Amino acid sequence: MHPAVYKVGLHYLSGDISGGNARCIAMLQAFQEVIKDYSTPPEKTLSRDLTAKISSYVSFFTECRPLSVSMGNAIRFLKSRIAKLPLTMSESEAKTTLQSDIDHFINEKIIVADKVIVSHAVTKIRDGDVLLTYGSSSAVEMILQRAHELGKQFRVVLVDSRPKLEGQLLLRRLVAKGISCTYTHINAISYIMHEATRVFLGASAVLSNGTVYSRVGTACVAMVAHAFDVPVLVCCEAYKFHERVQLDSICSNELGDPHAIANVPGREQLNFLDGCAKSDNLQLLNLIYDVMPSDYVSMIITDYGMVPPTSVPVIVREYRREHLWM
Amino acid sequence: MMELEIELKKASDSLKSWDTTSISLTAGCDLFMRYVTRTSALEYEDFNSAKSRLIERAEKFGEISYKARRIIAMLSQDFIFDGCTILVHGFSRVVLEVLKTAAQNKKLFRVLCTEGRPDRTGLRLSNELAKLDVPVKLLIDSAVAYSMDEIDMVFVGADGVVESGGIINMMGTYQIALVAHSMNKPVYVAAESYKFARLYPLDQKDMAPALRPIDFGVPIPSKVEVETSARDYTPPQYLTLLFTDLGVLTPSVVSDELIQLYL
Repeated sequence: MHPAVYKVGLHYLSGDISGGNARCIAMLQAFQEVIKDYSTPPEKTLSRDLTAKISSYVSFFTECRPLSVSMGNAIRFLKSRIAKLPLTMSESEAKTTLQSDIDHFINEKIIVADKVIVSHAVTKIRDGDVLLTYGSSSAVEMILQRAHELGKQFRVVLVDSRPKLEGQLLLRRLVAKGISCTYTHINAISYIMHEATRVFLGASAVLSNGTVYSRVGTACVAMVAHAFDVPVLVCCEAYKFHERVQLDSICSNELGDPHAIANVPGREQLNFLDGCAKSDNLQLLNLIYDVMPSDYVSMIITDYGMVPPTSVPVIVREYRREHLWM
Repeated sequence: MMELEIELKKASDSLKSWDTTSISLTAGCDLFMRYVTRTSALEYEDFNSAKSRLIERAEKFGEISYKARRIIAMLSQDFIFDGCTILVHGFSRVVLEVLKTAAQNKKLFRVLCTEGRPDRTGLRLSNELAKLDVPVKLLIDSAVAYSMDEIDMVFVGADGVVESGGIINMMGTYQIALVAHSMNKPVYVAAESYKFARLYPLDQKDMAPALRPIDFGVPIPSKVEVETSARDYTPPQYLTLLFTDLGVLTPSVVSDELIQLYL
């Protein structure tokens, strides 16, 4: 077990690194360390042995926390690059090629993609807008910061939810930048939605039928926005697109810690479920993700531009082809 | 070769600057540029062969655009059945071509034209249709919902077709599409493929404004504001089909075509 992999795995377990982009970048950087320190054992080929090693590290990561779609796509990319290495290449050459491929992937698919997304999204923000966002998305944060830098006059409504309360860190950063914010929890969403003019949401993945897979509660926000005729803009890099189709939130999801929803930290007198948790007819369900149907999404902003949710299979098809040519 | 591309871009920009509000002009120029320059001919060593390849593609683009109206008229014939009543809004030469072809094919149909204030497009269109011996009835713009019962389908043109699959067209199109949708009447749009634009309006105000003065016939007090926008945006869920030279498409295909061209 390589120490870099171990470190990243523990970060996932504790929740220090969370969010699709952060997890993917941390994983790829750990793999870069692995490749740097790798040496082919005798009687084995580099591509097969390295692939086997990567697979074992991937199962370690999965034990710490189930893989996100972004990580899954990055692993597929890495494995295909390893498989494509010509047999005649020397080991050091192969290692440098792989490391630069990973750098290239991170730069092109995440960092530059985010810049393109931000440049498209800020054209949709006008002076006087009230932008609503949910939880903490790295893409949405960058959009808000850029729009503020460009001098656009807008205010932000940040909707958050238990148990993770991820919005609070984003709130601190936005307020520090001087953006006027309103903070509320998701139970007030139908009250606050009439004020919003645009809703910006992030995504963990976008599936083939235009369905958006993201943090639990996002579907709720999108549904209420749709009922109030507020446009919903989902910001997602293209490497998070996936061919699978999912119709509801239950068939493929991740379960969080059940005690997190049973207890309210710091409020002992509210812990009515103490002792009940062991009961057979009680199941504490703490879902991490949920699924938003494409009808609620007005547009998806990706590094390929602004597309309607019906165009996701076209991008998946074109993107995979480009992948193969890389 | 780079010089030639720069020259083309300059020419395209100066053409676009003549009428900054026209979406079809901008879209047409952009698509032309993409179509012409998106060829591996640019990698050819020999400048002359690359140039002739570019000219070939340019002429092909021009030919497609010319023929577009004929193709659209042909494709829409199956949708006009004998005894049908068609509602038309705005003066679109494509729609006129469609109706002309239907009349030439001896189909029996009647047309309801909205007046199209303040441009009076309805009067121009009804003139043209009367020459073809097609029974025409003029409606004032507010009489659309009243007459929607007897209408079988709505036919409109488009100034521009946007990425979401919606259209930007003369003011009043959105209203008619909403009424037709709520009464389950199909709305057909006839538009050439060079009108596909890389725009994505989220609501009515999310477009470049195109204002034109309205003459009410009587003087208006200076304190009274007038809504002078010349066009509106119809979202894709109110449109049934788009007749283009690429075929009969559903609104979601517009984005697919644009992605394939721009990717």
